[in-house]
Amino acid sequence: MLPNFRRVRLSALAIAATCSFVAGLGAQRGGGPPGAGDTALVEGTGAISGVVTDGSTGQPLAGAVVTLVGGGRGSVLTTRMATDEKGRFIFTKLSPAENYSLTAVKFGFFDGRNRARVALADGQWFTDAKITLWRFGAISGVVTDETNEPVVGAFVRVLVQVMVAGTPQLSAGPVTRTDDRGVYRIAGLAPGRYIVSVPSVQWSVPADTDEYALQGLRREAVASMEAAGYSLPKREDRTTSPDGKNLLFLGHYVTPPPAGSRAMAYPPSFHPAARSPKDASVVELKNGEERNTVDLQLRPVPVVRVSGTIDAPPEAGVAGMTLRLLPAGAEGLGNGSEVATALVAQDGTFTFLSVPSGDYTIIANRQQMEFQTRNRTVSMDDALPNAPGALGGGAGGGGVPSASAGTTYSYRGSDGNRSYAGKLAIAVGARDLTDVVVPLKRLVTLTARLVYEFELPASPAPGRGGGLPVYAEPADGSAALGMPTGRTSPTEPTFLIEGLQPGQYTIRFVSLRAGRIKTITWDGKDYTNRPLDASTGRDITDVVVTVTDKTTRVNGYAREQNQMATHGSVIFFPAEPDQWTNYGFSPRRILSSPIGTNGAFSATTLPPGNYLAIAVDESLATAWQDPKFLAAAASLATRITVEWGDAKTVDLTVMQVPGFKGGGD
Amino acid sequence: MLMTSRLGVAALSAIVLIAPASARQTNTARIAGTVVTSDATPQPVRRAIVRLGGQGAEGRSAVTDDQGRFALTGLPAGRFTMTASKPAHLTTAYGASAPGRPGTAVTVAVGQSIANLRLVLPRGAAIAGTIRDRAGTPLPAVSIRVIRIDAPRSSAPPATNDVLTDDRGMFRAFGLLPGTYAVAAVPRLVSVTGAVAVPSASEMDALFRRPRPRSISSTRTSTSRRAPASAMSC
Repeated sequence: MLPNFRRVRLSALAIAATCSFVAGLGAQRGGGPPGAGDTALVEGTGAISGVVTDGSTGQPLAGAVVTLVGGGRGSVLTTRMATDEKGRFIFTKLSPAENYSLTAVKFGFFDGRNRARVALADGQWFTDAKITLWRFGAISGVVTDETNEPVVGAFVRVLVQVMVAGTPQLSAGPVTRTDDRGVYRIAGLAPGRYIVSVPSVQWSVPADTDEYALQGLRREAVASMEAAGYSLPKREDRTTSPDGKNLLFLGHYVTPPPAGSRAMAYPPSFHPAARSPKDASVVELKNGEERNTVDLQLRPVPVVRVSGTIDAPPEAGVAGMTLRLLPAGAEGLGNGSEVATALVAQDGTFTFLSVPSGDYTIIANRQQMEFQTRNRTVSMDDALPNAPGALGGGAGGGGVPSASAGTTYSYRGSDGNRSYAGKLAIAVGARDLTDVVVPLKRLVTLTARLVYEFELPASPAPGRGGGLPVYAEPADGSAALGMPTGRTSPTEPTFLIEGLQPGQYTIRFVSLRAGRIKTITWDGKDYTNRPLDASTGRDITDVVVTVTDKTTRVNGYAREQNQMATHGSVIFFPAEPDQWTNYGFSPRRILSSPIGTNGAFSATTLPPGNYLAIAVDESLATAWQDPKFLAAAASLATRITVEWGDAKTVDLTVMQVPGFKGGGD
Repeated sequence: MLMTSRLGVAALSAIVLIAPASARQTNTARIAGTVVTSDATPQPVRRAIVRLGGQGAEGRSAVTDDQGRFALTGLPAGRFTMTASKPAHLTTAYGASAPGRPGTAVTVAVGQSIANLRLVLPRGAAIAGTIRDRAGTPLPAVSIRVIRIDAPRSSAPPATNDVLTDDRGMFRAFGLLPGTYAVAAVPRLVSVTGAVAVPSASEMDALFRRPRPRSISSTRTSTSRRAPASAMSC
């Protein structure tokens, strides 16, 4: 990708904001009656109506698109309609069902994972479905340099403090650029804690690096485009190092001229004028809040050279590998958060040409992962340019259920041997660092057997490749460990996951062919509810995952002030406090289950064990992500023991948890 | 589009400029000068990028200091062109009468030092505004195209990148040449999966007025149950 190629992404719902456009779609449906929906699968005589309101003002919201999901008798019905000027919506001709769920979207608002749940009796008109949307917040400010002149075209990005696996982590938020007045504005922000930064990446490459690699393009791709009449413009923003061996590409804005003989650069900066995320001022946004003077001042600092060699066996193939230099404590951030990157030369040497003083980690890994937090309604942000050498290798990602709404993990690889990786902590002072040796080690491979305790359904047609995806999730939520991924063998009940860095991992399956994990054992020990440790560097072999088709079930009703509760959540969590953290991205033993309008709740995915259960207000539905909440809730919760084949019933009362009012405001 | 797009001026520039050792004997010429604004009383422009063009000048550039001064050293003998650029400013060649016009080449001999060149770098204009729908509601994420409609044939039309309105419906296009512009709001067509029903106010009122919702088909058989009383309050 060319460095200045601007990507603008827009999700499908962005335009649903304009009523006329939505109306146009509605009209295409042949003028059916409102609420007629997509399907007449099971037409009943019930109805659900209600109002969408602005959580900050309590006012009704017009033009919100409400989606109804659910339905009876085994069919699922989806219907959408826009609210009128009074914020009202109504869905008719509904069959009775326990599990109707309503969500609403409107541009500039977020749903905070709130939804209305309705249990509808035959012929009932449920009139009281309330959906609350919250206005997004925004952060804006001015970026100036050391003489208070506005900096034009600087990238500005917010980092979000999120909880993953009960541990605070940094997640990459939206990116924008300053205008001709140095002004930036980042909108679409949910309530939360933000750090505002101006990234600045210095890219160093060996002088013989070809133009294609510099621009992150493949030779073949360029050849075909040139055949079609396009030409590849050369990058003009390069400087040759004094010894002629390296080229330097500087950050994202003009760098100051040298002060005397000392080269100078603008390092990555954090509001208001910090050099690392840990020294930054955190901007705490409430619902719909606007913060308008979140300014940054950039100050040039002297820089030095950091050079050395990679120590790795020949099969690691280190030439052309991208080394990333990240501030200590920010190793979990991905492309664009580096202080500098360097391409490894053919002889295994590397040079970072322009490094400000500070504590850093050099990361040598052909895979990188980071958390990203974007709002789901619209994303109009810029993308940070790719460092040279970021080629091929694939990319992907997925949701992180144990983090704030909108948080995903995103990984990308680059071509070459990905079985070797290394990292090294360095302290950079006022002098050049030479002879730095970065050792690369072969990463750990995990092999395992699946033992099914039930007869498998007929397997899919042979020869279609595949198997089921299986993930090794960093148990402590540390993005720097990546997301090693494997697949079960299509022919044997085994799986293999390569690329585990030193650290602890939990195993996650997307599906186990109608079964679920019963036990995980390794080396004679039980790992069902604790992570596997790859820190010794030895391969993890002969793990046995036993899969059962047995189920568990917990049912009940929640009461609130001597009446049935009509909304809220029941949170189930382990009775053992050591399991409130370190569970990966998707805890198997923590569950937040919604309370229906008839007060009913149920849990069908809890593995056996001792649990605590507490019914809370809907605003606390995701409060379990913070282990401090679980600690506060434990003494108020009801103890439940779950066993395979159980169908337990438990009735709960909605509780207030001291110190936790909920995410409303 | 991707392959022909030019590197943005914001993309970057250079620091210490020292030629490879093998060329040091002959690459001894020097060109220095100042970059100033186009104001009646010209002011120095700091952090401007001066790029050299011509044989032996590939990739050579310098950044102006706080007094607008720059120096390109270690040059071979030859004829060079120069441009000054800076984000939100109008890239102008040395000796050109206006931005986008051809400039004048500078000739240096081996070891020659030329000082006190003056490059003029005007600041670009900006157009800002708000996009609203008929009801006066600001429209976010609308693509705005600023099109010059008086562009003389001789100069390249300033094809600005589209800008998007922000969450308040506001946009700002900057770095524009002086001239007459049209501003176009380009609607985005985005596919939406499935249909969204948008009842009119009267349809909605009718639905809520009924004692209970009725289907238009003949399935009105179980009308014996009454709708909850609260339905009437809607």
